[in-house]
Amino acid sequence: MGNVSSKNFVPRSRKFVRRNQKSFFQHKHDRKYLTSIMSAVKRAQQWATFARTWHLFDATWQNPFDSAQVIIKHLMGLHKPIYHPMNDCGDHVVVMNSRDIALPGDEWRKRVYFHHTTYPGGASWTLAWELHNKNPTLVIKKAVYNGMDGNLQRRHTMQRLHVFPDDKIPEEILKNISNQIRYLRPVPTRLDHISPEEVENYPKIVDYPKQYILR
Amino acid sequence: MSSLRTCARAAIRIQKLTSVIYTGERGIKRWVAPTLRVINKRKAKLGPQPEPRRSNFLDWNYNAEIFAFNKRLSENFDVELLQQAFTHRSYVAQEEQKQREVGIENPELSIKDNTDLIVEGKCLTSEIVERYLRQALPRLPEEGILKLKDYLLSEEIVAKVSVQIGTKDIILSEDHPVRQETLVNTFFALVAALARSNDVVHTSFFVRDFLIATLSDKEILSIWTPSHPFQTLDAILNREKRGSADFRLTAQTGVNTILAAYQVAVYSDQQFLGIGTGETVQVAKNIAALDALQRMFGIADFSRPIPFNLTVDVSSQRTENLPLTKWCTENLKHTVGG
Amino acid sequence: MAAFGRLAVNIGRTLISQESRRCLNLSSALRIKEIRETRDGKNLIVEGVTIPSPRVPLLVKNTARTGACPVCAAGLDVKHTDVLILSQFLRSDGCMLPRRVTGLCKTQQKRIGTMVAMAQKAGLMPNIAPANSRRDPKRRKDWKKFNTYFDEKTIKAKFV
Repeated sequence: MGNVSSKNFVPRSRKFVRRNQKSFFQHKHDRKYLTSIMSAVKRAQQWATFARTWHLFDATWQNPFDSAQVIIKHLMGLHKPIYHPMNDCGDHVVVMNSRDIALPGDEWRKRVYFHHTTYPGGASWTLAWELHNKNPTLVIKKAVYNGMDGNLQRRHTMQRLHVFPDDKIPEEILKNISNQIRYLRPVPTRLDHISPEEVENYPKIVDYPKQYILR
Repeated sequence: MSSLRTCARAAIRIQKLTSVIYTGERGIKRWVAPTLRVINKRKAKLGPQPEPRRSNFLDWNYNAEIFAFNKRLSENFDVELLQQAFTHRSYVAQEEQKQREVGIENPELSIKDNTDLIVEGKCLTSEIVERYLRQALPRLPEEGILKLKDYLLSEEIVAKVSVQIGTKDIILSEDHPVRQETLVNTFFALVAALARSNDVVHTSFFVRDFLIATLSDKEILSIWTPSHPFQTLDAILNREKRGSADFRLTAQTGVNTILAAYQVAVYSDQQFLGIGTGETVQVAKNIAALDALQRMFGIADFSRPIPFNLTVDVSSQRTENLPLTKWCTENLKHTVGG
Repeated sequence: MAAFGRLAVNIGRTLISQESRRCLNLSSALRIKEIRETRDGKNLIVEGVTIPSPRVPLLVKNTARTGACPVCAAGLDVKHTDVLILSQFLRSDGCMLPRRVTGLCKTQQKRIGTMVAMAQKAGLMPNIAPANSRRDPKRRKDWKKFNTYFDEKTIKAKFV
């Protein structure tokens, strides 16, 4: 064990062994070799296994409800082989550009968020576009929150979700990020963002009639 | 109609057969609880009781136990030698004392104790273990082999093995419950007894199957770790005339959190050597160096597991593994080849 | 009565300005047929020349022998985000060209028309729009300023 020079390294591993002494090694003859039961390499492997990864998700033109399923998977650690409901192995997810999320069809007008103040007549219904006007992070936050099972873990899992309305992410959070979650639907390109040459030289499907006057 | 009846009868019989299957039950029946409560209360009232001696039980049959011990391990111990291996000096002294108390001046007992068997067995076991480890782990430096031997011959491990092959109740010794030291000595005595009953090769199988096999679920690096991984790795690379160790940060996450994880890989001449993770870059570098070493020594997780089917030749000449100060692939070829 | 009124207005206009009486348009958008003026000594020759369409070299050949329409023959699965294709069926103010001009079959004409509407609602072709319209989709009112996408399965016109 004395092979690693870092100070905060050795005591932690001993602490781990001591805590689990009773449950793992009940035979009294095992005791002398308890302190060296986990090598430094194994401890490092454990550290790597339970490391919390920080993922970045760009919500531009993404459906928040479809994205929520992917975000939940990463927040809860469902994508890991070590996953277990009682195993705290969830990752962090940073969502950027939440203002630019896209809803299908007329959902901005049809989706309603309900709230009740618990006072008589305290019910209120807010349309999705109204909510998005008030707080551009709430639609995706609520989508993730409602996408999870309602248990005691849910609010703790939500603490690992960081939503930003635009691409201005604080530097200290940006430094943590080490992975990007792939978008679910491709971001469409606006015609005015394509160069005129490309528009002009794109293969044409139909031609104008001979005497046609362009307008 | 009669055929139908026979069919029905057969079906009933089959049902009976299947219903014989025993289904275990969990928990204790409700009506048993009051009785158990009373029993426990009485036990608590009595206070802690000494551990009962199995040999004091009415049904104890020493000869049968000795016979069963032999058969259980599928061994061919000479029965007299086996009895001698289980008889400790303290037991003989105790018996003599008993006779003296009765009034016999010069008690003459025909019981032989295992004092010389212990000494002999200890040497033999040590020899077998050392040779076996060298043969099974040819790439492991000599320092590691010696540390592994010390581990295998330590009191805790041998005593555990001794208990597990069932010596505890058969031992004839003064102390009760049996001390660890006695258990260890009994194991050594058994080894010597087997060597006298059979031959050394057969004894080495005994030691291999019961003592050395306990290494199977152990991580060798947790028993022995090279003390200065950086310097050791550099020295080895130098001896092999390769470029010095080049550490590269391959991944990092959560840098600003207390759960930061850095992954560092070691390369030499663009060749991958090992990889390590840690909460700081320094720790990760250490682990990477250690990982490179364990890959070289053939003791990594994914390396070929220690073979437990080798035969050791105790009579052959002793060849030591390479010490850390001389370890390099080139030297290794000479040793393993020759 | 209304038609009569319009006629009166038109006659008034022709009386006021000489320009509007000319039925040939000279703006640069009219590239298919061009008016050329050449002076040969004292003679001024004005002629209307039919110019080959700029689309001709880029045209996807319709090889279908069954007489399928260009979109059907090309075998394309057009989405409402394919603005480079959809813009080929539009006038400069964003209106859909009529079927006699595009030469599409009834179903494709309807489908393309619907997809053009989808793309315009999603703000993907803001540069092809009436001159007085708000070009930037972010400056639209209420829910219209937020991104919306559409599912092509919801288009009613389809081949069964």
